[in-house]
Amino acid sequence: MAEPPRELMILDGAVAPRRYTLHDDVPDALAPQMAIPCDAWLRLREAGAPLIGVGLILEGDCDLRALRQHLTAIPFVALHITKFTDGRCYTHARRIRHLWGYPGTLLVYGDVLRDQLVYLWRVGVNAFYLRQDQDVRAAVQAFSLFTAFYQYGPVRPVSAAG
Amino acid sequence: MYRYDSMDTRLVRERVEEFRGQVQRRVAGALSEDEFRPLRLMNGLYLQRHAYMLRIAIPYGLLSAAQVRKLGFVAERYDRGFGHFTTRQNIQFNWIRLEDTPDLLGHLADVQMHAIQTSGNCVRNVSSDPEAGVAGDELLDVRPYCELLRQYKELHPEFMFLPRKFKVAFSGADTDRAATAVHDVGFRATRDAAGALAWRVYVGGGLGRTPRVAQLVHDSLPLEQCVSYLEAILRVYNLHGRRDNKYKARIKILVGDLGVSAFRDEVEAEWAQVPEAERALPAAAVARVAAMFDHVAYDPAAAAVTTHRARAERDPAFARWLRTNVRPHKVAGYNIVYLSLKHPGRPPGDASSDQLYAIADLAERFNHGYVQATYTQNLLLQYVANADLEAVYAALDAAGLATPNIGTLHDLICCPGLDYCSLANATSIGVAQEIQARFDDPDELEDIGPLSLHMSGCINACGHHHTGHIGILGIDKRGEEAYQIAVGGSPGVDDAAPAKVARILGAAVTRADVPEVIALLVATYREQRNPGETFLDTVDRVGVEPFKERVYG
Repeated sequence: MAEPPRELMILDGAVAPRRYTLHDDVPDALAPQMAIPCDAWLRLREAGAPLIGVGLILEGDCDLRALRQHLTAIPFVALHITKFTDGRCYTHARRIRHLWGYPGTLLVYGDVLRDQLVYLWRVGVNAFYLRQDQDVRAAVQAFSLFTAFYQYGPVRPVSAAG
Repeated sequence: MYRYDSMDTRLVRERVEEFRGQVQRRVAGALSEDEFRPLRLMNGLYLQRHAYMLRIAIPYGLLSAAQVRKLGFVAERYDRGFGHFTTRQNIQFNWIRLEDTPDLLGHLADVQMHAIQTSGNCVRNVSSDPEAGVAGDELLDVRPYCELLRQYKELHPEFMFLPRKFKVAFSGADTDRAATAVHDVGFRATRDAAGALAWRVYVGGGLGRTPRVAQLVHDSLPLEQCVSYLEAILRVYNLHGRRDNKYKARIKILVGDLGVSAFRDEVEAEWAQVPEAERALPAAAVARVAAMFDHVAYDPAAAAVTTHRARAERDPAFARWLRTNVRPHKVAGYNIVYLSLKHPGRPPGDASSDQLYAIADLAERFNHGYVQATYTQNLLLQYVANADLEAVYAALDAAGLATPNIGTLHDLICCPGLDYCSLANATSIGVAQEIQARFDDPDELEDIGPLSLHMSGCINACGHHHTGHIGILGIDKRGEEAYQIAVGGSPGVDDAAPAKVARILGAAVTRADVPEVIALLVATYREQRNPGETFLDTVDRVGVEPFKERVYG
């Protein structure tokens, strides 16, 4: 497992039980709510595997171009932030959600602190597995820190001029 | 000047409260220093040798009188009575207590100021031509675009964790007074083939340990598409900039590795994903912001006043100040007056709280309430009528801000160096003062003419030593401070005189020898120059050898 199982996540702005499992290697038996690495997912897809409910994991250095044509078949995408100063997954999220119009769940996990939540939410992430030591219930307050933004919101694109 | 509406105000206030919470978590131990560092840096707070340093944003260098007065208050209440203006038109305070920063930022928010993104691996303060809006050689007043970009980049959710810092500068005039060529991205106004105003976009400039002159990535970008094109550049950089080595993480390295042509292709491919209708800033937004910068009603009778010329006839000191510190304005009868922050005996770029209060008063009386910070760590008043020149001079002289040295060897750019900075290897400020003392004759300074001396106390090059006509780099040579001397650099003036990196003359010299070495370089120039040649012209014509020979021969 890429991450040890824990109890809580933030989903659409509220604390909720965790529902996804993240796998570095493809398990023998795939099941809904599992996420597997992007290249494995694409390989299985090409081979005709049903992949019902199976999501995929994107790392910062993944090339997303091959993904676009499969977007409608992907139930959820898990973005792996290995170090919280690494901003690549923000661009992945923005591209998938805003430029490609992906409607499904975008989950982040890894080195995720409450200080990133507003930014991640605003590039389209709606599900968060915080780092083990983070207080999930306190972190939810981060969503109400800001009521004003210059750029697009999580759903509503606005002009660059605000 | 841009005026905040309720949304701008709310955002800045909310950012203060977010930072207050982060400081509280740090003080309580809930955030480690490793975790707090990037969070405090993206709000301008550095930990230096003696205390925290807070860098406050001055978007494109433009200040209101109320803001200057507030900076005076901050210097008095939270610092030791001084603020330090930087090459990127910001101001920093060197003696800040961590616990005070949220309240200090609250005071700044009262006058529509903040420290957002003045540091950290994000898009930094947008800098510009300090003469924007008033320069005689201007094609375009860039300030509305600077402001729109300020809004765009502020707390931009996608680009707060870039591989490294990212600096953007704008210039709308023939002469580049914003050093666009040594920025990550530089926008320079031009005219396209049809004669319409457009941007030339340069990418990959920068100093530090790998100095690079920016390369042209777009030669005629429509004005209103600057933000979306920059977003495409940022997206390519965010994904592909190196993250394995902080010294190779700036965009200049990515551009160098790919080559500018391949980099351009990446940007164009990224840009193509943005729907065409969304590429341009909304015309209404541009018009709304532009209207806020078009506010000065010039007096058509101003040019008829010439009393300052009569005063200059009988007062050589005033005449000298007019020659050195006052520049022509696009409107007859008005002047651009530089306030020298290079008073010998004070750190270059420093202003005391009393000076800041005096400047605020002057701005209100004579300059429609504005003050402008410059790339060269000075300030200027850009709307001074002929009739007010004498009164402005008297007030500046009384405040120690009329030293007649703008553009001269005294007007040097200098980082804080070992006095404050924890990265520095050598003293900068003291050496700057020793050089200024060596050249204490104003007639000699004027005879030497335009000469930029840039000095950094370490390889990070905050004092832009690579682009000085004379560049000085402080190094640590077996535990002793030593100084490498270079000549022939320039941040770029125009197409005929592009940016270039200064060439090192030889082995580093001791601190005690620096003033004499500078004197030798100046003497060489005065011997070698042709009539009308500046120091840089002479270096360009004769090469570095005569200078090298004089110092080391």
